[in-house]
Amino acid sequence: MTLTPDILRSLVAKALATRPQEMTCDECGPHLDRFAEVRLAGRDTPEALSLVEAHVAECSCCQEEFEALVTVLREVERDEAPWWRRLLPS
Amino acid sequence: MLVRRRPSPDRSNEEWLSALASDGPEAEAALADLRPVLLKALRITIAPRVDRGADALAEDLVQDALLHVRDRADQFRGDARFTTWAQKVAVRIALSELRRKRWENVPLDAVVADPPSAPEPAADAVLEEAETVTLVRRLIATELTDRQRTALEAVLAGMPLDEVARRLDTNRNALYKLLHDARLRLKKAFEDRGLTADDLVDMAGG
Repeated sequence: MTLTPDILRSLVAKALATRPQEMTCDECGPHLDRFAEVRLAGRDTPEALSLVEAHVAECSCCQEEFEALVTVLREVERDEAPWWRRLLPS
Repeated sequence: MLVRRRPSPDRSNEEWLSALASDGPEAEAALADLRPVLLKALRITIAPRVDRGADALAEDLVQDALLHVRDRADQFRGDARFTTWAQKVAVRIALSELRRKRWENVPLDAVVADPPSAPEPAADAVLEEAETVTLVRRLIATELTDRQRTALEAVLAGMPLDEVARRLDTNRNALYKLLHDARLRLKKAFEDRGLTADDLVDMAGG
């Protein structure tokens, strides 16, 4: 693989933004369900979940799992909504 | 025609946990209620990521997801809906399987750059764009351990952490820590050499 300038730029930005203490995947995982419900509800991320949000922004696997879970919740919510609500603009 | 949709089973978190912890018909009924919930989560997750066979793969994985949920129900923290937690388990199982299938024939050395030849010292004045790129490449080669560099380059190439970890005989959590340490080393190296956001703008323009 060639480390192109674009890839390196992204790496430098991430490295410079690295904090001494970060949540790991094992620490983040137990909070993803709560975080997904908060996101689905359209609420701001509470302070208690700020480290979860930071980890999700950095870890591609946790990010993919979080976004997939939000998609699941959104589709289930849509399917279970009363028929008249599905006619309203989202 | 109005299609009736089956709503999610209406149980409280405590009722789910109690039922799954019991033996006999109550646990069976809870698992039977949970099955369509997990199957739907699996289908929604898999369908956009494969060309065909999403339903079959979801059916293949649903039993595994049910067993995970039943066996790990004591890990549920209770700060979300139980079904959300169970859906999270199913999503992770689905994505792990998809990652494994997608990357199973890709060896690590196919995505990792060859070790650089003897690096040239960087200029200590204002760096030109190309020199900045050279500097960053040199720092990756000199500041990181071989294992850190390999892991970092594989992730930069798009290989999921799960799959990099499998190839390095470790796990995703330990790999994340390794990469975090690598980023901290690079951060210090960049800061020591005065590499700032302004240099990034230069690189973006190049």
